[in-house]
Amino acid sequence: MSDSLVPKETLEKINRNQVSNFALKFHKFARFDGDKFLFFKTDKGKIIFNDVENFNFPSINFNNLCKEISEAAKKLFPTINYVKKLIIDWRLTLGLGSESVYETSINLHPVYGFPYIPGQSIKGVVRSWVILEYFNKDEEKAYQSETFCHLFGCPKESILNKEYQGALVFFDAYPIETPKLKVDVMNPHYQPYYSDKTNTKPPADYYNPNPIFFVTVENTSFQFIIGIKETENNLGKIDNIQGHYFDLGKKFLLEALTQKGVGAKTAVGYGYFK
Amino acid sequence: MFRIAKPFYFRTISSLHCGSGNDLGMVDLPIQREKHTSFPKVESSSLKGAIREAFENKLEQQKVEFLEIISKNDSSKIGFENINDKKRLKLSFDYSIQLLFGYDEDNLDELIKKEFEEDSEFSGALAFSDARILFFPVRSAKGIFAWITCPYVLNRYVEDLKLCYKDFRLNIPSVDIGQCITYANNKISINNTSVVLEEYRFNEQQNLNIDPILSKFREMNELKERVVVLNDDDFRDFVNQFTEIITRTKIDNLTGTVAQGALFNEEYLPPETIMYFLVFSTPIFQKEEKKKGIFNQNGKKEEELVMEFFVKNLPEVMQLGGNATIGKGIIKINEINQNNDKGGK
Repeated sequence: MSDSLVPKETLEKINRNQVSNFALKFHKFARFDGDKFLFFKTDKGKIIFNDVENFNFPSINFNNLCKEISEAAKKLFPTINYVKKLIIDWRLTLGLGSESVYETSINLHPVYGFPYIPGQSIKGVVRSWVILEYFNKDEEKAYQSETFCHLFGCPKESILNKEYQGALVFFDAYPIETPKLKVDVMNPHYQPYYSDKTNTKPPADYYNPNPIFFVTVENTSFQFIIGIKETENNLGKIDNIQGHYFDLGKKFLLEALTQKGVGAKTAVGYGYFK
Repeated sequence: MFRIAKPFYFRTISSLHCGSGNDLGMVDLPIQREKHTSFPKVESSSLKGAIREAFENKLEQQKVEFLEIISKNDSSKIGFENINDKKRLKLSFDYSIQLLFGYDEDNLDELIKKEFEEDSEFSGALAFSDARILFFPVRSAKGIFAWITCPYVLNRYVEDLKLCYKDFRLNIPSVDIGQCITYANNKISINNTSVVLEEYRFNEQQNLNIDPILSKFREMNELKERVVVLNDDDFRDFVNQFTEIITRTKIDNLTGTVAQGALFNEEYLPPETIMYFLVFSTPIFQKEEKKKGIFNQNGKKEEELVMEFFVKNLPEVMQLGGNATIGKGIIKINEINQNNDKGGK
């Protein structure tokens, strides 16, 4: 197959379907379909090709990788750690807007190439959830809460008058089983209307719909881990909720993952866990 | 002058960012690199700081290991005799940290401060080298990923290890550009003739034998299945262009979209990176014998006790570099063991 735009001498040895690292297959051995890169193509409802689904991540032992992280977490935080396995409620899509040869992207592990949720995404969502739910969307107000500052860290302009690093540690969340990839579609009908800066084009039905495919993960369990140092696990209070920092963190993590969602398109039901 | 040198290595479990500050290039926050080779490194000061912190954490978790002799009331030599056993052990451990890593009075117990009242200007008895790259993970078309290295890195590794083991010797084969050498029966070879790393093909020769190096690693068997020796230039290109770049954003809580001006790129060493470093020990830098605490024993040399104490308490897993609160920089440390010739896990 000569539709991957990688060096010729490479293609003499291997084609797209033989590549075992999904990130490499998806991003580097991308299929060039005449005028653009596509991982999925349909014609009048019939699938022409689908380079994403049914990829079974050969020779990756998800169980072992998860165990390695959770054991490392337990060694770093021997007394206080929390390992929770949660399954995606519907579908998850992460890193949709990252740079890619396609119109959309997906967040993949830099070495193993499977979809995962990096620690920063999890921390960001939990922190944002707390601000949304308990501080009425007001970040400045959150910085006036000592507990909030200790949990998530804060800048100098806060009640602590000092920059702090958060006490809660959020680890990368790996899938605990072979992730099931699913191609999904968003289909904006009025694209000229959306992208019209002059405000003259109406959202009319005579525009052609413009299907944009993106990759999601469904029906897959992930392993979430948080930890905190025993010496930093003080008593705190946010809103009316009192408790040790660790218990608050645990509560907020579960709330955020089940009620706010992680990744892209959470407003339309993606990224929720149960 | 340093009397004992011991080699260690670490393998990254999560991505590692040991930063060198801001940069005007494509990446806002690059990692530390050697000036002359542009290979990734971890500055000895970053390493020492992280290891010291790991030792202090051990103290907090009360999981300290002492040298055998501590139970024989030897800690009384440093003035903690009227304190109960548990507290005394803690104090003695913390006191030892000061002797090994240098004096730092932040959060230090008053009783220890008192001991150093007259003279807190002394050097630590441990020294650290920079952590240097040994095996760097690159995505492979077959077998998920390969651990790449090159003759320059291997030769330097052998030279560095001679500081610890005088008779350590090994001839490293040379490799041409576009070629590579691997072990037979590896996981990454395509038809036993080539290896494809990222989108590049390398012609493969399966006659690698660096057993004297690999046998000292716990991961020996995995390494044999994935090690690829590339030409120095090819190696340099990979460690420069195929590190992990993460785009960080901040979501505006009011609008729910990416906040203006809060987007930046960070460079990381990916998980599965293997680096090595040396640790040196000297006798304790204290004028009075009694100030040397548990390291003052008849029969055994101070530098040996220092190293023994270090090895005993070095945690197997620790955190290094930036962004600890998002789970970055978790590393597994091990000794590079001269006698571990059997290898394996």
